[in-house]
Amino acid sequence: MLEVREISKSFKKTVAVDHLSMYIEKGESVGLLGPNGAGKSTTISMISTLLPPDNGTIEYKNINILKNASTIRPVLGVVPQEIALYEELSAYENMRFFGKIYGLKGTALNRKVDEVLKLVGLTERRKEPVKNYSGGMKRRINLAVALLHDPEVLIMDEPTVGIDPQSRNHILDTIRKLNVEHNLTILYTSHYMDEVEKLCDRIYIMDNGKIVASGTNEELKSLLSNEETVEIEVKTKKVEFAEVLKKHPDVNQLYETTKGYRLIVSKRDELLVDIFRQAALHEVTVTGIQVKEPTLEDVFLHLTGRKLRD
Amino acid sequence: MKELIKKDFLLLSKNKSELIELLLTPFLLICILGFALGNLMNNSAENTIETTIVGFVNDQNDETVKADFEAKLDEENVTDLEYQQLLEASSELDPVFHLKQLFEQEEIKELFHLKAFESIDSAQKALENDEIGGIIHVPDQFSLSVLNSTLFGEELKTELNVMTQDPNQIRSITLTSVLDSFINEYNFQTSIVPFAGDTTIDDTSRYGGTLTVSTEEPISAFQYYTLGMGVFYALSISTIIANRSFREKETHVFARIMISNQSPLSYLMSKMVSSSLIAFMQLSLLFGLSNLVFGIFSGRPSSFWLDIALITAIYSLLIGSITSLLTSISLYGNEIKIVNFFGSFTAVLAFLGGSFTPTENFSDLIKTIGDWTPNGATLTSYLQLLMGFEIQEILPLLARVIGMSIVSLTVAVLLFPKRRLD
Repeated sequence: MLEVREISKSFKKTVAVDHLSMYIEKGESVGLLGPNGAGKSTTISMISTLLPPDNGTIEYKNINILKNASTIRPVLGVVPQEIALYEELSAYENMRFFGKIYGLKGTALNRKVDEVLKLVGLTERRKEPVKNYSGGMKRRINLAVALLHDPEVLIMDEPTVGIDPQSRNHILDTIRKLNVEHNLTILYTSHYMDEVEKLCDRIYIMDNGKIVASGTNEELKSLLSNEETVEIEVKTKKVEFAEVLKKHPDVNQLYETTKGYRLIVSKRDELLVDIFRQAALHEVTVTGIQVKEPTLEDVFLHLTGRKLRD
Repeated sequence: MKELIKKDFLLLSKNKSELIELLLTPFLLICILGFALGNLMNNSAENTIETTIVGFVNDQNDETVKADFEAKLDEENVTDLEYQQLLEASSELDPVFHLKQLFEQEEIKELFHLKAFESIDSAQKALENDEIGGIIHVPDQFSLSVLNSTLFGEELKTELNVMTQDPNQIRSITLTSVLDSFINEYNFQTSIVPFAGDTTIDDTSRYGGTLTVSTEEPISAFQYYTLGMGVFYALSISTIIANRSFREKETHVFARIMISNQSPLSYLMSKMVSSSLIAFMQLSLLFGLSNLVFGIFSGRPSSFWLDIALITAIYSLLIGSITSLLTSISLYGNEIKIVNFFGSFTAVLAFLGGSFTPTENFSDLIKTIGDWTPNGATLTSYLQLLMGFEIQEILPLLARVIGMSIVSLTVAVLLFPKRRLD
């Protein structure tokens, strides 16, 4: 349905997107996971026809949208990372304005505005200026505006940044509902792996403008099938102890956490014994230890050597 | 595009500080400046229209002048035909005849009334006693000397004498100005006579053209500052709307509008149209309110109001074009500095354009620069209309305003980003 081939974009000497390719099938929910500065927003701008790539092509239903932007724009809903609304106006006024520029009018416009306001749970407060809303409510209206014209493809750029858990869950539930019940095709970018895990059928992991891995949640985690994550909590952290662990042949990655260390290790039963032995030798009191299956975050660490939220 | 324009109006209606800046502040300034400087401007206006008696002493005898001129023609080696033509020309070119005619014009009669005196002594006595404001003294053989100079290129032997009580008095300045204009116009007209092959100066109204400065209707402080503050504060609209455009880009509202398949140019045009409409409404409200409260245009005919509306419409279009230019530059460079700079610079434009004080007080250079500022050219147009100029006479200034609009809009369209829209 939507196919991106080898697109690149540079700003002066900085390469923001580097020969990126991806595709999205109809009704699919695809995640674009990467840290800040990975090039996610630039990619989205190019797919949204707002920014021409330096090279490469983007096709929607086999039509090159770089030459015919009008083929995708009427069926495209975009939720930018910013609150792209007039804060002086009420939610209702914002929605009526954006509805009208999409060509809605009369009862169809009124019906759609009511329907979308209900979907995001803001019917009661629709007459209040957006500037009076909480961060979460603003994000919900930001999403609602993108749904007014019944888009076929919804592109969301970090739509849950900086909001309370309640609003976040509401937004995630709404997106899931739109995908499952309305068969809406979704491209979702985030640096929150749990959101992407929860919402997306397939995931692209992006770093430094490139796709470093792609696949379903399970496929990506299987990249670390021979590894596991060990989280150690200690009473007092010691540099020497961390250095010894880092040099251990079975420890592939080590990161400090608030209460101790997080290790990505090769699966081997004797490793835990080694860890306790080294802890005793360095007089480090271990207060807790947990062995986990790898997460997407671990996959990202493994692939890039960086944390998602670095 | 209609929805984009309606949205700009809706946003303006929600923003109290912008409404205050556009409507309340200029009206308050009109009140303050009008009351504070009203006496000053009104007094000078009253002095201008007070009728002054001017003593007129004519020492020459018309019959003698005619006889002497005929004798002169006899001396010259001219044909009979030339003799007849020059004789006719002498009566038509008589400077004293034209001078008297000038003081018969209605506009001049409002300012000066000629009173004949037998001798220069009696006139001087009247001047000393403050019975008259000045003396025009025509010396003996004056007309003959002028005719000989004009028609035969002889050296001018006598000249018109003007005496006033205090040369710095407004009535003295005005009298001198009227006579200077008369002499310049007379010299100009007679200098082209031989080349034009026409010895008749029958269109005395031509003199009036150069005298309009002295016959203009006075402008009150309220009139002046309504127009001055109006054109000044209309410039704020460009800053407000261009600022909003930049904010729309920063918050990605602009991107959202573009994704809805609106063309970039229709967005740019919406900024121009909404700014123009807002400017027209702002100026109409200010003028209307000022007229209601201070009667600045009371008693004016409907044609005057139409001309005011025309100037306002042309200026509003310029405001719209400036807005689109600022919008284009800020979106092109992804930089708000230019808009903020223009916002600060409007005060300088207002000063140069004469919104705070009439540019008559400035040097010629500043006056010229002022007339090339958008607000200055428009303010001068309004003032000229108010002083009684015909709209045709103001057209060159209005053409300048239209020219500025076209240039601003063309640059705006060329600069506006059409591909990078995020």
